[in-house]
Amino acid sequence: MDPDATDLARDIHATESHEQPVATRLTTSERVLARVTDGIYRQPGSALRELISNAYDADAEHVYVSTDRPRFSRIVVSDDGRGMTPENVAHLLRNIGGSTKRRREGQEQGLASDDDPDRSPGGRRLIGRIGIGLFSVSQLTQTFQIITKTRGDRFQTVASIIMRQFDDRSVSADSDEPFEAGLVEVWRERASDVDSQGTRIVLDNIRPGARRTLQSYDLWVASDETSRTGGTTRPPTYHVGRLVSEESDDLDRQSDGSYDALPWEAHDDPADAFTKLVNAVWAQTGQQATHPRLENTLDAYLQMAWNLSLAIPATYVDGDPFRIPFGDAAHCFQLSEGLNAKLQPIKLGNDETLASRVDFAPAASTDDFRVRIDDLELSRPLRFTDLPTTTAALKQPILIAASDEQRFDGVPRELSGGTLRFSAYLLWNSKIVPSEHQGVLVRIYGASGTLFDSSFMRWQVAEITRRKQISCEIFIHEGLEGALNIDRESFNYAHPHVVYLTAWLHKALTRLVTVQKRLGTEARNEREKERVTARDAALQQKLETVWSGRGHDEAAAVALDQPGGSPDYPADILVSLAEPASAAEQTRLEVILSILAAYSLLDGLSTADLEALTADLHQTLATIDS
Amino acid sequence: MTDSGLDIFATTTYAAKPRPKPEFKPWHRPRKHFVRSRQWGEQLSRLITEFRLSEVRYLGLPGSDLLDIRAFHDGLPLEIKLRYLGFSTLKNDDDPVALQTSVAEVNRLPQIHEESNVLTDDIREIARQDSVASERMRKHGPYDIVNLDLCDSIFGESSVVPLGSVPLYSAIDAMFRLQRQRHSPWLLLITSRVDRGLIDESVALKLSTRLLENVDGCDGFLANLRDVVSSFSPTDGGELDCSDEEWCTLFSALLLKWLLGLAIQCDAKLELRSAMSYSVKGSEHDDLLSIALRITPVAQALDPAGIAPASNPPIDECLLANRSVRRLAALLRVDEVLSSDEDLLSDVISEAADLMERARYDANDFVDFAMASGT
Repeated sequence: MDPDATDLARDIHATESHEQPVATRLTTSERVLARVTDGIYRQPGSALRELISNAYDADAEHVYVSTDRPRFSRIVVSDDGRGMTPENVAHLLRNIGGSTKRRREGQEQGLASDDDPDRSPGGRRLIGRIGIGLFSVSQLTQTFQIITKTRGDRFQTVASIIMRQFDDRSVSADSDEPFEAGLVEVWRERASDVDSQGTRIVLDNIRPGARRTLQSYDLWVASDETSRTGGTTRPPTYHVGRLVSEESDDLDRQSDGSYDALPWEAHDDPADAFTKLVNAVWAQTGQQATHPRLENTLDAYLQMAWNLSLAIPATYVDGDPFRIPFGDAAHCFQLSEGLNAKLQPIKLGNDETLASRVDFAPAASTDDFRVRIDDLELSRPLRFTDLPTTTAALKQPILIAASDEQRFDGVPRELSGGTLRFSAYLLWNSKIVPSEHQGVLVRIYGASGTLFDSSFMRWQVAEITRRKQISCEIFIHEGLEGALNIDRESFNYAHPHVVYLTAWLHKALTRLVTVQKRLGTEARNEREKERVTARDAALQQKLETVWSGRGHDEAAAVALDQPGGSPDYPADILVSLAEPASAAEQTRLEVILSILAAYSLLDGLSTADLEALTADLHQTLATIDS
Repeated sequence: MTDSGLDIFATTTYAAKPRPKPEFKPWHRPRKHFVRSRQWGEQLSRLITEFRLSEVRYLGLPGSDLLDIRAFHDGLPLEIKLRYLGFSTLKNDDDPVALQTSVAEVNRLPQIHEESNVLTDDIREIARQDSVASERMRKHGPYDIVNLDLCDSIFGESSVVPLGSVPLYSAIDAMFRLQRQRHSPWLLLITSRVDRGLIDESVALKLSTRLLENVDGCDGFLANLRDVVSSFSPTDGGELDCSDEEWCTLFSALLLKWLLGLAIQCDAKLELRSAMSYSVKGSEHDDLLSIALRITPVAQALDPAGIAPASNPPIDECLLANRSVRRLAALLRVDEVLSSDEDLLSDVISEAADLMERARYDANDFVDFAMASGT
């Protein structure tokens, strides 16, 4: 440990016997890094993700995030992990831009295991960067406290921190002085329970801007505005409520007497509550919205919880895709290694899972890390069974299990970044719910800051429809970490690991698309055209031509739902029209909507907007006709 | 507020806040600990045992050292968890970090439920049904034990706050309304200053009126009252009077009557389990009262026509009023008890020192403080 931090640690210990805290400054010699902690994260949830990652690295079994929603005046993150010694704290305060975990210092500090500097003392692969990660809270507040204790210590260590706002002029150009990043007071307090351990981080004085974001301020303003002017923006289907006004401490009561709109009950167990949330989002597929989006269904707080559940190490809400006995319910394949990989079908017997048939299944996520945010206990909101179907002929999903290892033989490690090794699954289904799950999610040792990338790492292929039907996860076992940008939410696209992974992914996706086309054709050939429509066969043929011209395999079925008459065939896009329309008017509207859908123009629309569009079309066309 | 008129900053001073030195306060004195263990702790233990509680839900007004919660936790039988919700408004010289440190520490204790928390809202906020405080109270309730440990008088002018704000009694009303959901008995602890001069006039009149109703309309009540307040004398103007010495007891009777009325409105019986008093100002008459009440829901028939049969007879206010007033004879004057029994005082100091040490105070310094304060 550097001498400066050693001195600070000694001073912290000295507070055990006298009452005055150590008052010091947060410093870093790296001005660039000091800057970097400021504002690089796009969402308030990013800061929480970093704190949760730190707790994971500290071998915590429980993390409890308490947000004071929907007021958000104080956020507390509390864990039962190893805690920090005064030496750890001193080092942290003197190195806010660096990370101790991945070097020998990490071992010296007791933050990494003796055998492996990349693992925690408890054996977990380290996922956070405590130096930068902790100060990501500056996104949410400039003042916070850390209260921490290690097992066996008769004292706990308390640090009260004010972060400084970065200001170019405060740093002289040729200064060797460490940059002051904030003020700290640190002291030791007697602890009653010597054996207890854990860390509590208290963020008070939440920045007004961050509070507004967490409170879904913009959403509510828009919704209030349009309800006055008669527009169609509504509050999200599910929300945690809001305050009557920014200055008030009163909750806004809705017309039904409740404050919030949540799919779980107050007395529900937190894990059940989260399952209900997930089910409620999936249930949106039964509604008219063409492709349910999280942002229409959930408010900012619930979206944050959802995104955190994807980002952290956690179990799957409905089971791990490698460990579900699909039987006949999915078409399974294995992709062999290398860029010229081949697909081999896997026929799963009763009770067989992908993990039992391939040797590269990622380790099952353990449930020894439970993260709770207020009423919700997080798990991965991904489903692989009972997936929604459409009128498309191919009803069952396709699941490809894959793995690869690239050693970059012949290139020194200093240039390649070492070995890259990963497993993955690629899922095709006629509908991916919610839309935000379309894409690829890269998970490094169980954690992901990037979430689903709907561009599939810039896959430049015109498969507009099919891209929306694919969701995949890549589980990195070795490598890639060095390619993460400092916010851990994006990749350095020049890094060899990213270049290789991108190429691999694009090849794998091409294989998936090929097999999907083949299976789709087979399914269409097998099934008889059961669809009976009241429409002219020629018209239907025309529509099919439009759809296939836009790259789709088949036309989606569009139908109007009128009062007193629901269509008698299954429809992919069902739009309610309150005003009665004649058969001819209905056909006209359905055709227009069908063509718009073929051009993917209806995808972003909420149910309300879609109905409004249809009503507007109906009224306007009626004016032309009359 | 900022110059810009935009709401940008939540933190507006770039400086460390001076940390107050931990000092011993009057409520750290041995007699308070006597009340804490011999009244509060005792009553909670009985409730747990008699009704086989597996979890204790607690609503209170803890100080930043969370002393009371620690004490309750320590008295719990194993396997029983304490789930607390505290309203702790920080006064000028209070240290918010001390509160958070206490919460961090207490929540690591094995028998504390993880959802336990302290809000910095004023408890009076619960009187507004839509407030965040009210919603939190409802969410974590109803409670097995409600501890209103007030610094001032429950009927005092500080309880009657400026127009637009809410008095304490409205908060108590709201709390009873929530507790109405309970089917099993619960414990209400109230600590209040009793000084005549602190009572708001309009409130005093209403309290007197209630008491006088019993004096007039309830057999035996006057006699029972005179047994414990021998100098009781209602004036023609409807005001009440008695000697200074007995004022504390009379105040207790007024308070009990008020709470009994609230309880009956909520279809519950109220029973005085313990009453203790001592003197804060050091005068010869006690000016602080601590009472423990057990409140038992008794489902009442709703049908005023009496057609739907009642599962319980109507609650007899007179009977309960009489009982509670009689029990005031056992009002324990703690200063007297402790100053006349050295061994007891010494035990209490030593227990308190243990508790204080767990709350991060220095045990030796505490013992010095305790010995110097007498009781």
